[in-house]
Amino acid sequence: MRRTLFRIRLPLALFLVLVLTLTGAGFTIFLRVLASHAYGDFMRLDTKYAEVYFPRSWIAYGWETKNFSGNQYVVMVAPPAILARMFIVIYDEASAGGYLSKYNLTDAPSIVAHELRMFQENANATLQIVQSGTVPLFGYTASYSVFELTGVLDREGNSHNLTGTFMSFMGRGIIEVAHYGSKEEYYQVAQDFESILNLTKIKEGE
Amino acid sequence: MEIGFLKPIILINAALGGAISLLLMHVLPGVSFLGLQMLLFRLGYLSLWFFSESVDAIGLLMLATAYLPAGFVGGLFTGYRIKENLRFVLLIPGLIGFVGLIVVRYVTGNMNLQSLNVQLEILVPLLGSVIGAYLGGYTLNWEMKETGPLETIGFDMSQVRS
Repeated sequence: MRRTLFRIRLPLALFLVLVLTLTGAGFTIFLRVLASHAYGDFMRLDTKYAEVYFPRSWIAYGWETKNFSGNQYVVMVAPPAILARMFIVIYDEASAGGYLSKYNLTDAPSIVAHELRMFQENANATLQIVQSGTVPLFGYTASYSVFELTGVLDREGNSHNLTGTFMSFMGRGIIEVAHYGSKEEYYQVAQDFESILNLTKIKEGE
Repeated sequence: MEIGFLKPIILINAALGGAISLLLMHVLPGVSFLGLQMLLFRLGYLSLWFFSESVDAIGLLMLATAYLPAGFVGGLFTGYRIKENLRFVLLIPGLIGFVGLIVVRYVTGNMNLQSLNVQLEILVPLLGSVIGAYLGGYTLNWEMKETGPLETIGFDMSQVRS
C-alpha cells in the first residue's frame, strides 16, 4: 500500500490535495457564473419579471413575495461600502389590483405620493419634494418625484439626510423604481443608477 | 466505566479533539466568509457572491478553507494522544465538532430551522468535520517507511547434497 505522496504522509497529502481541489472547483464555478452573466462591465440578473443589469462590483439580489393575492417581485441593487440603494418593485396584475384598492390609489402620481408618505412615516423623518414630473422609463411614461428626507436614523442611531428619486408607472401591473442614498454619496453613483435603468428590461406581459 | 476499547482516557482525548474542532468550526467559517467576500470585492467582482448558482462555489470554498481544516486540527490532536482503534475513535471528534456546531448555532439564534440551507449548514460542516478528523488523526499515525523490495538470499548449489 502506498505510504507517501510527493514525499508527504498520505493523509496529509490527501488533505492538501482536497483543499486545493475544492478551492479550485469553487473558483471555477465563480468563473462559470461570471461567463454566463457578464455583459461588458455589467452583470445580468435574469429573473421571471425583469432582466436587470448592474455594475459587476455591486450587490444585487431579487426575491418574490405573495402580496394582495398576486405576486410582487423586488430587485435590490446597491454599491458596496456606499449608503445608496436602488429597488425595482414589480407587481403583477392581481397584486397591482389589490394594492390599488387597498390604498385607494388610481394612477401613477398617486402611487408615488403614497409610497413617499409611507417612506417618510417608516423613517420618521422630514420629507421634502424637490421636483415632480414625468420621465420615460422602460418604454413607458412614469411619474417621478425627487425627494429629500432629513433626520433618518440608522440602526446605530446615526442621523442621515437622504436624497433620491421615486418613479412609478402602470402597465398590466405596477412598476416602481426607487433609488436613494445619503446626500453626500448619492451623486457619486447617480450615473450608475441611470445606466442600470437604461439597460434594464421589464419582461413582456408585466 | 469502559465500553470495549472506549476507555475514559480515550473518550476524554477524543472529546478534547472534538472541542478544538468545534471551536475552529465556529471561528473559521466567519473568517473565510469575510475573506472570500473581501477578495471578490478587491477584484471588483463582488456581484458573483449573490447569484444563486454561486451557492455551490461558496459551499466548496467553505469546505476547503474552514470546515476541513477545523476537522483536521481536531483530528491531529486526537491522533497525537491516541494511537489505537483510530478507525472508530476519530469519528468522535468529527461528530462532536459537527453536532456541537449545530447546537451552538441553534442556541445563539444563528440557525433558522424553517429556512435551513441543508447543503451549506448541514452537509458541508458534517463532511468537513468527519473527513478532516480522519485525515488529521491518521497523519500523525501514518507509517512513513516504504516496504522495500524482497531481500535476495544467496544459495550455493554446491552445498546441496543429493
